[in-house]
Amino acid sequence: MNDERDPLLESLFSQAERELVEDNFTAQVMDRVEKRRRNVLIGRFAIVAFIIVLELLLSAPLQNTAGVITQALGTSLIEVESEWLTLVFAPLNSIAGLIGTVLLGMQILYRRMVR
Amino acid sequence: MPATPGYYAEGPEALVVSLASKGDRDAFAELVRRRQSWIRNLMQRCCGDRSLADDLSQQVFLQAWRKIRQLKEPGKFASWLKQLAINEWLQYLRKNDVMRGAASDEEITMSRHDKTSVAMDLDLAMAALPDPVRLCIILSYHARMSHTEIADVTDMQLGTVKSHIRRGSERLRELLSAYDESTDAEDTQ
Repeated sequence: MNDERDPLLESLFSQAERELVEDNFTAQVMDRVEKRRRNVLIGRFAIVAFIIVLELLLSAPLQNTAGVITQALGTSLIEVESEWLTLVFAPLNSIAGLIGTVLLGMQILYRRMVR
Repeated sequence: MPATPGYYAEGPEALVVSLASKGDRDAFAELVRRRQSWIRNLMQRCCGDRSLADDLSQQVFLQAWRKIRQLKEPGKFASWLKQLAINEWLQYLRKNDVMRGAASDEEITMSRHDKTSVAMDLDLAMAALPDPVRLCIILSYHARMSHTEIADVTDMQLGTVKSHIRRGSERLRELLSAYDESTDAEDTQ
């Protein structure tokens, strides 16, 4: 069968096709468009307000936590008397260094297992 | 200068589409006015329910407003809108079990040969077809799309589209045979 259409059905479809009066349809669509635009604006405003409130409420505890973590990560594993030696070996001789080394080791191990 | 209602009524569609894609709501309202009848008729043939058809048509235009910035060629607005309408209908079908059980296998007895009764009888007969068959028939007869175009927009195989249209047409002819006889009778008079 090619793209030819049944003449009876073609005629019935064209008879059934009515020019629908516009009545309120366009106004209803535009109302929904406007409502959606308003909802998007309200949503954006709510997100911004939420972030600001969160920032105000959590900034002090977050800064404290960050400070504690930073301090803890820098703690030396082995006490060295000399100050400059402590500074030189800080990347390795610290909790952060230990965590970094463990993660690196796990990554190497994972790669070997996958290959 | 602010646009007044009807300001765009005389404008060429591609220009109105360009303005709407830049966020001009009056231009978009004009596009809705121009295309509403066709889209509502398409949805009416699909679901057979006037209020549902209007609701789905409104959804189609809402989608159009959201996505009109993505339309690269304003001249292709009509076919783009048609694609949105088909997608909206397919999405609705996936979520709902429309017209199930509404179909009657009995032949439709033609009462009056006016536009309203033809539309009603056609909708009733369409309801007797399975969803994919109905969609192919509507796209072929109402949207006047070729079989290849239908296969493209519905993601069906070309062979499936052809078979749906053949089977659907045969079924519709059976159900609407009263119209065939009346046409024959008119011809002989």
